[in-house]
Amino acid sequence: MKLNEIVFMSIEQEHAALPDDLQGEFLHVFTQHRNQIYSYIYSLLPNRYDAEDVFQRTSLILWKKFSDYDTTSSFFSWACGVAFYEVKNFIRVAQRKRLQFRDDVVQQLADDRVGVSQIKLNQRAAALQDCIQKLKEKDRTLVDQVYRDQTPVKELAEATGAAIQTLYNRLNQIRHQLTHCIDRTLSYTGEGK
Amino acid sequence: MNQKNNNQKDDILFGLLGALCNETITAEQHQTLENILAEDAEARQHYFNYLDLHLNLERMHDERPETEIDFHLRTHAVSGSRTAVSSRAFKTSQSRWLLVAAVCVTIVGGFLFLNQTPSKPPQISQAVAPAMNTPVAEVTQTAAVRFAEGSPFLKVGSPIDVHQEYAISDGQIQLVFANGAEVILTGPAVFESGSGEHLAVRYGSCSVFAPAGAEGFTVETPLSSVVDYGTRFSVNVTEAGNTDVQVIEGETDVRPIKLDKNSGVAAKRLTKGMAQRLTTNNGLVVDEIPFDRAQYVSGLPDRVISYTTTLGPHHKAEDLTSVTVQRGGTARQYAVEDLIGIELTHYKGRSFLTRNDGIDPATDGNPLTLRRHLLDQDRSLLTGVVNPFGSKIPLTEAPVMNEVEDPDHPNTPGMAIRFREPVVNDAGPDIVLFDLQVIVHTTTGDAFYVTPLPFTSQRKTHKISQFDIDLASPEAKSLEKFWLHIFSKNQQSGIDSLTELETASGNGGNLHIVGAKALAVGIDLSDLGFAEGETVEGIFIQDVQDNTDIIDPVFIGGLPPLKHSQKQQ
Repeated sequence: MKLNEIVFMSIEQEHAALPDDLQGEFLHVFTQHRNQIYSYIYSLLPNRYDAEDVFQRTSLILWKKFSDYDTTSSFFSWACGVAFYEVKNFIRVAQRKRLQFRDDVVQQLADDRVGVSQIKLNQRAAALQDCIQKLKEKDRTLVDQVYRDQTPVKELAEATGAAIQTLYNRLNQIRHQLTHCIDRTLSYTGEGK
Repeated sequence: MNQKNNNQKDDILFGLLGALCNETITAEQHQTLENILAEDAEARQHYFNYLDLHLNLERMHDERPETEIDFHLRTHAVSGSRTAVSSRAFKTSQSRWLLVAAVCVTIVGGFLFLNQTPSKPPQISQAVAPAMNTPVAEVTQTAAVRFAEGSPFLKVGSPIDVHQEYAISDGQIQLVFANGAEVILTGPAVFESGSGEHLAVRYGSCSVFAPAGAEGFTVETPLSSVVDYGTRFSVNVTEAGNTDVQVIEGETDVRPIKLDKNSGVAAKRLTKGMAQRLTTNNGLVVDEIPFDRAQYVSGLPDRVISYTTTLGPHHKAEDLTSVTVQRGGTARQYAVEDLIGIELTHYKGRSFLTRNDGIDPATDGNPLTLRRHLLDQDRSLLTGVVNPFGSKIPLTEAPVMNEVEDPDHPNTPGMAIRFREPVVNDAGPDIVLFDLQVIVHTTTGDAFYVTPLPFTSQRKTHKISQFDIDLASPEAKSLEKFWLHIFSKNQQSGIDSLTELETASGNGGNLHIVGAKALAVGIDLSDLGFAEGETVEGIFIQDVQDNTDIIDPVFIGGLPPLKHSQKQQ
């Protein structure tokens, strides 16, 4: 049974929804932090499908447990606490069917990641907008094809006659270039890393 | 490591990160990446940045602005939404969001459709979500901060919610607002924010740095609004609401409030070096006052900011992996292997700590393991040679430190360590000391005296009575269980020398039931009488005998001189 199906079976069984006054609050605060929560999970479980599964499970638990959330504390920190244990459970149950980090590394990543401020993340995201404009047109096109159109790299290779590894290498170089550009931009503005 | 090696290391790391994001990573590459991430804090930072970049590239292409997201509830069979959301086609973050929105709305309504076309009046939408606290700023640093009764507790990373009053009774807290303005509040202080460009200070002092882009940031006090025009300024508010404004750089407008509709005091623009006081005396009174630059706090004090550890079986801290220290105003992270190691050279005290296995190095059958190694050769924050004896007054002469106690010339109570290489007096803390503190003991940490070795008349003993990271600090980590061993020779008088430390019988140890945290403090050699650039060989530590609690050092290390410090946060 897929995790999605488990989630929705749970939903059907769990009609003990939040009180009305909390429903809107949850949606509001969850909307604000959803990207940050997904990024946190993805950094512990860097596989798209695994991260999405855990994100869904985490979201559901956050919803169900929202009445326990202490609104004077950080929602993100609370969500990370829930997400962390979902990641650990997922890894335990999956028994490393895919490549996953060992426990102590996941813990270390979680410790480090929770300390990364949202403001820093926003600054990096904003700097990316400028940096992407500085790419060569050919590279911007490749980024568009892979990230916007979600064209599989294999298909791009076949269409262009390029070796698939060549395209992967190019993507690596572009991401490396963008990383440096973001670091430079933030160091110029005094934001550092 | 030289530049060439660093570049090679980066190339390997970025190659692995590329393979990870391309989803082409092999098991062998994954293992290599795992090993790098386990050992290298800087690599972890690169890893986070790279993965964020990867996700941001996806988001840039697939997200509409959040305000466009609108979803509606109708009472229908669930099958439609279930079919829609169980598909693996949801690959992007937008669709992830829609999926989760569907999850949530499904629960809210019981049965619903997810519909992005606003064809019917919404039953739930973001537009009609009840007002709730919205973060407008974030806590970026704290130093010895205490929160007043009833105030929300904040730590690094906590959001500052709009229209939420906060009160600190002591210490300092730094906030960064959405527009980039940086504010340091010094307790006692009461404050509240109305937006990403506004801070109401009801009481206490705050220092504002508004960089380019943060112009217009306003500090509201009971008697005025201080509007920034790209500057540094401080505002100090008394309990009666009287307000002092000092402009360090740039310009600000001080706009007095109108106490009644028939009176008013004109706003005044203050420039660098100007200061004004607003008081009430049968109306609002504004006076020029002497400029006092000292009112402006440009940064939090140099100190141990935080540390990282490995985690034990109960997900609590065990071994130190890095420590972040602010030195000369700049935060620097040191991996534990980059710290200057120590040797324990003297001990007159009562007990030692071992890990949860309770194994006493003196009775483990291995002649190479010594009790002193619990402090000087491991990174564990659970183990140490602890409870050194002390004194009620600071040491003013060189301590007696014989390998074997001479009854005619008794050893000085306490413990001494020698650094494996001299520690240089540089900006800020030069030595870090971690103390294991049982959670029911003194919040500020066990006070101790530290004396430089060798001791000369130019040097002095310094008393440390407040840890940078103390029991109340959000950065203090709970420790795994440990065992306390007390020397059975005489549990009150303890042992007298380093020789006895290795030979005296222990009591076999007891599992310590009550939890403990690791506290940390930075020691600045300037406080011990050293000029900048001078070096120290070792230190002598004595408990300050002011209560029944005794210092429990579990890790001591020297910080490398700043010119060799590579890592900055």
